[in-house]
Order: sequence, then C-alpha cells, then structure tokens
Amino acid sequence: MQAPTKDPILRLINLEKTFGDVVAVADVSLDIGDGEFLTLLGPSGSGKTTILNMIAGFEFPTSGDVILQGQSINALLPEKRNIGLVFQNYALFPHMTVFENIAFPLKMRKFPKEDIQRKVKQALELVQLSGYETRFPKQLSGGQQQRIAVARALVFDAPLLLFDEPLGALDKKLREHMQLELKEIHTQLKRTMIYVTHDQEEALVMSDRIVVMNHGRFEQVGNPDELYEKPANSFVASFIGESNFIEGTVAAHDQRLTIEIEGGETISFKWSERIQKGEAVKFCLRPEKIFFVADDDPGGSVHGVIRDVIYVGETKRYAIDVGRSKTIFMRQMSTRIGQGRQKGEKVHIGWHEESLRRLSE
Amino acid sequence: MNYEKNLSIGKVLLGILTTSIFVFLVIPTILAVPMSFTETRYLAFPPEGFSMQWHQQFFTDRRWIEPTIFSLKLASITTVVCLVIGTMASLALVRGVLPGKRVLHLFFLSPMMVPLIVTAFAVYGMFANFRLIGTLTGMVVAHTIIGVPYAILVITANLYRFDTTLELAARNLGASAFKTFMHVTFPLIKPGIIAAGVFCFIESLDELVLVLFLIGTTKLTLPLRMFSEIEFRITPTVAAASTVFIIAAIGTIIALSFIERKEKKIGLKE
Repeated sequence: MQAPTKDPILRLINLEKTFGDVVAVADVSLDIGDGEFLTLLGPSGSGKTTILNMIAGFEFPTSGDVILQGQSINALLPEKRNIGLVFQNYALFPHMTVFENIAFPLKMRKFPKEDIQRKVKQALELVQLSGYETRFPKQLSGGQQQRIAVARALVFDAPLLLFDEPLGALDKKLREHMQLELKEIHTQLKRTMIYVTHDQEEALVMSDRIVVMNHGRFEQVGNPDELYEKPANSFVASFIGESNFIEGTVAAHDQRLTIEIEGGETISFKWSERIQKGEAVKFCLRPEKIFFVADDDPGGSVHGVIRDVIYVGETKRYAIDVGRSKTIFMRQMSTRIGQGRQKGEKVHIGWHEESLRRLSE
Repeated sequence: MNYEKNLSIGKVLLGILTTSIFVFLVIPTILAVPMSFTETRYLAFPPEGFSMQWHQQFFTDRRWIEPTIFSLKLASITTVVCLVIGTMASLALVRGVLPGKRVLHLFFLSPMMVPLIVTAFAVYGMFANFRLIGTLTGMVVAHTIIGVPYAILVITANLYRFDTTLELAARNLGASAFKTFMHVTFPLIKPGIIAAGVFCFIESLDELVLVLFLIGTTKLTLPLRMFSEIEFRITPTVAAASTVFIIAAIGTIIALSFIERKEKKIGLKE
C-alpha cells in the first residue's frame, strides 16, 4: 500500500464492520493525506458507504479505529466530529430556505449573526448560486440542490469532507459538469475529500488516489493511471476500463509463450519472463493496445477472424475470434483512414509485450 | 357513443347519490342555524321572526357558559396529553427496535375497535376504585384512551413517509439528537401532529358516552348540557349552541386549508 504524500489527516486502522454474519468491511487500513482527494470505488454492497458511515459516526466499527487529526473519534457522536458530508439524495431540509439550510451548521455552532451572513454568502458564491437565499429546496433543480448541499457541507470549515455518491441522481451531462466543478472546489479550498462512487470514470476523472473495493476488502489502492495500467488482479482489471483476459496453463515457453486455453486450443505470443511449463497463468490486455499487423510480420502475431465491428463514435470496436471459443476485443480510433477492416476478414493482430500484464489471480 | 351514454347514466346516478347525501346528512345539520334565530320559546321550523336572544343566552347564561368552558378545558388538556403520548408512541413504533412491533401497534390502536360502551363500563369500574369519578383528571384519562389511537394513526403515517437521512444530515451538521428533533423532525411532522390534535380535540369535545359514566354530579360538559336540554325542554339555545359549533368547525377547516396551501407552496406536500 502506497503512503500518502503528506501527514495523514485521517487513518483507518484495521477497521472492521459486520452485520450479523455478513462482513461489510473486512479489516482495512488506510492513511489519507491532508488535502488529498481520495475515492472509494466499488460495486454496490462492496462496503464503501459503510466505511463512510463509520467515519461520519453513523455506524460503530465492530473492531478497529478511526483516527482524525491524531485522535480516535470512535467514541464521538456524529455531531461532535466536525466532518462535512454530502448525501446522494441531497438531504436538504425541505422546510428551510437555502439560507437557513446553509446557516444550520453555523447556528448549531453558535456563530454570531454577522459571521453567519458572511459565511453563507461566501459559500453560495463558491457554488455559484448567489441570490438563491430565499428559495426553498423544492423550487430548485437537482443540480442546484446538490450544490446547496455542497455549500452546507463546506460552510463550517470542516477539515474533512465526505461525498456519498453525490452525483448519482443527476443525468450524464450535468454529472460530468459537476465533477469538474467539485474538482475545482477541491483545488481552491485544498480540503481533504473522500468520495464514494461506483462509477469508474468518475473516479478516474476526479481522484488523486483511488481505493478499489470488493466484498468489504481493498482490492487495490493507487492513483488513476496506476490502476488502469497496472491492475493488481482481474477484479480491478475488469472493474476499471475494459480488459481481455487470456487464461490457461503454460504448454511451452521458447521464443514465444504458448498457453493452452479453455477448450484445448493454444494461443502464443512473446513473453520474456520465464514461466515453468504447466503453470497456471492469467494475462490482461487492454483493447486499445492491440493493433493490426501485416501478414508477414515476423514479430509474432495472433491470427484471427473478425466476427463483428461495432462503431461507437470516436472509436471502432472489433470482436476477433482467435480460436473456436476465444474472442479478443480490440479498439481503434475511427479516424484512422484506410485501417478499417470488414466483418469476416482474416487478420493478424499484435501488441507490445509491455502492454500485456500478468495478473496474480 | 355507447361509452358516452354509459358515462351520462353514471353521472346522473352520481348526481342523485350526492344530492341525497346532502339532503339527508348535511341539511339537517345546517338547519340548526336558521332555527337558532327564531323568536319562539320552542324549536320551530321554519323559524318565526328574527332574534339573537338564544345566542345571547348561550354566551351569558352560567348554565351554558360553565359546561362550555369545562368542555373546552377537557378537550384542550386531552389534546395535549394525546399528542405527547401519541408522538412518543409513534416514534417508538416507527423508529424503535422493539420485539413484536406489529402486535404492539395493533394493541395501541385497539381502543378504536372496542365499542365505546364497553370501554366506558371498564373505565367506570376501575376509576371508582381510584376515586376518579366526577374529576377532570378522570375524564382526561378516559378521553386520552380513545384519542391516542387517532393520534398514533395520523402521526405514524407521517413518520413512515419521513426521510430519515434528514436526521442523519442534521446530526452530521452539529445538531444533538434533541436539537435534531426540534429543528428537523418536529417541524416536518408538525402537519400530522396538528391534524392529530384536531381529531383528538373534536373527539373529546363531542364525546358523550364516557362522560355519562364518569361525570358524577357536580359538573356538566357541553354535549351533556345540550342532551339534557333536549330531553326536558327543547329550547332554541340548543340550536344556538349547535350554530357556534358549526362555525367553529368551518373556521378550523379554513385554517387547516391555509396551512396546507402554504406547505404546497414550498413543496412539503404534493
């Protein structure tokens, strides 16, 4: 696990949460650096929201510790923790105006009236909704409501901000816009943010570091390009981006590595690292790293037949049968003139050895 | 064509039904209003002449004022007690982690299903032991028994619809459990509490059976006063009292609809 760049503001130490027999979070540890934008990424039920709830104080850990700024906050009530939280469904108080909503945390902290006025004004400016003070939440659009929720979480200067799938209810366009806006707020305020999402694209766009979670465990922790280029295992490889998996037992290894795959067929390609005959292996290959090669290419290519060509706007996706039961997907920019291949065409495909990644499981 | 014809027959039938409901249920109630203005010393329809003397009597005669004040006092105290118990019980029934919550819920609503006379009989026997017959306390307790189920029915319905993440948000923003209830939960279930309060108040103001058992000899409630008046003399003061009741009821409905309109405006209610 990689250490954060600065002193940790928040430390999770052997954190565990079980509900009856169900393990929601299984013994995870993590240091989060001051000012970092960290994303917990995983499918629903992977335990990411449970971790957030334990940090916010809504769930009590079965074992382990949550350390905020050097002090254990396990025993603190949610209202004593001073952590901002943005909910997925906004959770704005419907009977209060925008002003009253944002002023609420300040009122609870007994700020003087002038300070409340000033801070609410600043917070509204930050989310670009000045002039909306007297509106009620139901009179605002979903995107506006979410911005008010962000303003309310920011306004009391909490050192740590949590986001629980805050953009989940918005449509794609607005979501992408809000991603950039939140990123901008992070850059401006330099406040530590922990973001929960199941959207890998969102995680890649926004984060300094990503924690990929599955079944309550951390599958991999790393920055976005690390996770994409060097997935630690097949879960990460398939959850982040698209992957081809080549899996089987080593049949021979001389110039090329020959693997017996499912169905008794073999597939062979260049691989330098020695692997014993009979060993089980699994490789991951990103579709965009595959290219067509000339028929007489000596570097060693894989033969196949194009089964399908799918046009997806800026890219074309080819499904290439390289055996009776094995299909490899590749992706090419649509703009490459003259490289377009037809359905049914016999092709040779290849890739650079470093594009291939051997997985541990 | 056929469809339109069916529709018009349906409309005619609906019209007949509505009219008969109006004629048989609403008009007799409203008839009390003109009858209260009669000049005669007995109830007459159509009323003869025009006089406010019966209304004047209702508001000045001790024999009418005292039962009215007693009834209002009884209904007010009952309402407060019902709302406090009803809100607490509703919170426990909706939010609490209790074994047999469903059974408990039904148990709390059961006084609504038991015939009033049975409740009255049971309460009478018990209250006699506690020397509660003829006391305000005794009658408040009895009316609370029948009022609490109404309060629970309305308030639990409100709580089930309530989005609990709002409470989590309040806690996260620095509000204690108590402040969260006062600033978030209570204001949002307040419409339900007000509606429950109106139910309890009217239930208590209107109730006669339990009162008959528990009233003793010293006091009278307004319905009991009206009942005895009708039994013995049938003066137009009864009609005047009814008129006051009707006006109060209409006033309440108007007030409630204003509250509702305000809530619709800010989107608290669909």
